[in-house]
Amino acid sequence: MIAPDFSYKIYASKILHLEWAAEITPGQMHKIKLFADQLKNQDRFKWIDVVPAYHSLTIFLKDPISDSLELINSLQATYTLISEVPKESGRIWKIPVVYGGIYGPDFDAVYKVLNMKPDELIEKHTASTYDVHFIGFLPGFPYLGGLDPELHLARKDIPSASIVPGSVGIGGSQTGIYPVKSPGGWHIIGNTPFPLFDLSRKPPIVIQSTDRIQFYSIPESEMEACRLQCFDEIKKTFSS
Amino acid sequence: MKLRKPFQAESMPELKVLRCGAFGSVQDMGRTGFRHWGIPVSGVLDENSAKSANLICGNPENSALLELIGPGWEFEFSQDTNISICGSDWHPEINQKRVSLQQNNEVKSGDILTMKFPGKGRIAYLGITGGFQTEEILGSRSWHSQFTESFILKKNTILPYSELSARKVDNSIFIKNHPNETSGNLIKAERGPEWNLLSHDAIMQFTEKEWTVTNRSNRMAYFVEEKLIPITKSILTSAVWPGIVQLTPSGQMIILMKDAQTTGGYPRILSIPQEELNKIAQKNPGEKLRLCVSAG
Repeated sequence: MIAPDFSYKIYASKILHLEWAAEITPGQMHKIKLFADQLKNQDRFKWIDVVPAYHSLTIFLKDPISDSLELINSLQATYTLISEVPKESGRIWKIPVVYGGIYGPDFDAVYKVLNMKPDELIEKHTASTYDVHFIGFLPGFPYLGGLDPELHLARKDIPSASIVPGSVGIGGSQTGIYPVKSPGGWHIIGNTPFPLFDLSRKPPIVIQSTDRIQFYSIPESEMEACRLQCFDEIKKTFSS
Repeated sequence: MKLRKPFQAESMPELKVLRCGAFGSVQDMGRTGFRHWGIPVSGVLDENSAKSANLICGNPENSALLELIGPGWEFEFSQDTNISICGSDWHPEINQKRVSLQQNNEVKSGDILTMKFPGKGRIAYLGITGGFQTEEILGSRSWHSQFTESFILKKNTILPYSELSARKVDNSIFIKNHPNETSGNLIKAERGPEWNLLSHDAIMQFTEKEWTVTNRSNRMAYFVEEKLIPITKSILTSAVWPGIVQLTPSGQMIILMKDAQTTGGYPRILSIPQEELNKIAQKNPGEKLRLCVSAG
């Protein structure tokens, strides 16, 4: 049994915003995910959307909250039911990346400023298994934890006006993938053919909070073959 | 009166855009249930006016209608139906005959609707009986560049709408409070999650200052010209929603609207409830707001 260690506040009478300590840890990620799943399964919470983030969980309710005390009491009762925080993660997604060249317009600048050899940058970026803390910012954009501190790099002073879909970037202590075209301030070191967001697919977004990601380097010539492989893997995963 | 031959209708009645204002799109009450996938909620900016427009022409509140930002529109209807216009008054005319807002209007095959002249407010809604029957993506017909093929009304855009059923629209429905009459420039806001990071001097700015809406304002966010004393502390990325006011490191306040992203990393200093957001949505660039902040 865990004691309630979150604070809460209600906004606009229908938005319940819960916050934990301001830290990025796998333990907190699992706790929030588990709590979110528990809440979704309870009929008494008439929720529309439940949105996890690094240290928060935001519940958008259908109706205005009439009795906030009652609601909080039942939330805390649900929370204490989480007997222990499981360390179990979701799926591991292997993400092929073409590093550098036209696929990673900032690759050269990044390895130089980090004082590394090109291969070293690829080695370090592909060595970690990244936790997907949550999805936000863009449809299917995974917020990843676990970037090697040696790869931390402040965002660009002037954001790029247009980053192409599939771009793999580094921004501050984070790394991530742009699923759709977007402006952005991250340094783009490569591109993946893995389809993070595809409206013609069910579900359109397959990578979830608490899943894990491993990047691996592929030559440019394998981009199309890997794209088909990714499609097949996703199809297999969701048809079984 | 200028007579125009109605364009050829296929199977379904269609509305054709003959002339465009600044920005127009099909919207309903939004794409809910997918925010954990990073999918913005979208939907009408001024819910009050949009709901009225739907109710008046006999629709459920959630039917798809046209959200028109700025005047200058001209439409042609291929078949008989009922329409209603709510929100900003741009002197609408059907076949050059003035029609009122907030009422049900019958239109015939080949009729031309114009909404030409600037007026108070920024957004008008065109409701049509049965609603527009454009593609539904993830439970919503709301247009958004990331989800729907069309995302902005253009000249010659064609939009299917429902055939008029035998059921007659109740002409007695009249929504009393015209939104623009009740909307002053005073906006009630709640303290946001990071309100406590504001300095005393920054908080004092809310009691003194007026905030001018800029022309950068769009369906994602409304911006104000005047700067607020910024917050130096950085925060972890967390959920945001329409009505959240973010404060950037340069002191720019960003009022998030319906197409806003689902999470953000700027301090969330205010949260503005939807009733108040309806009023902000109707502000044209150059108009002023006062933000009255309560503990919430």
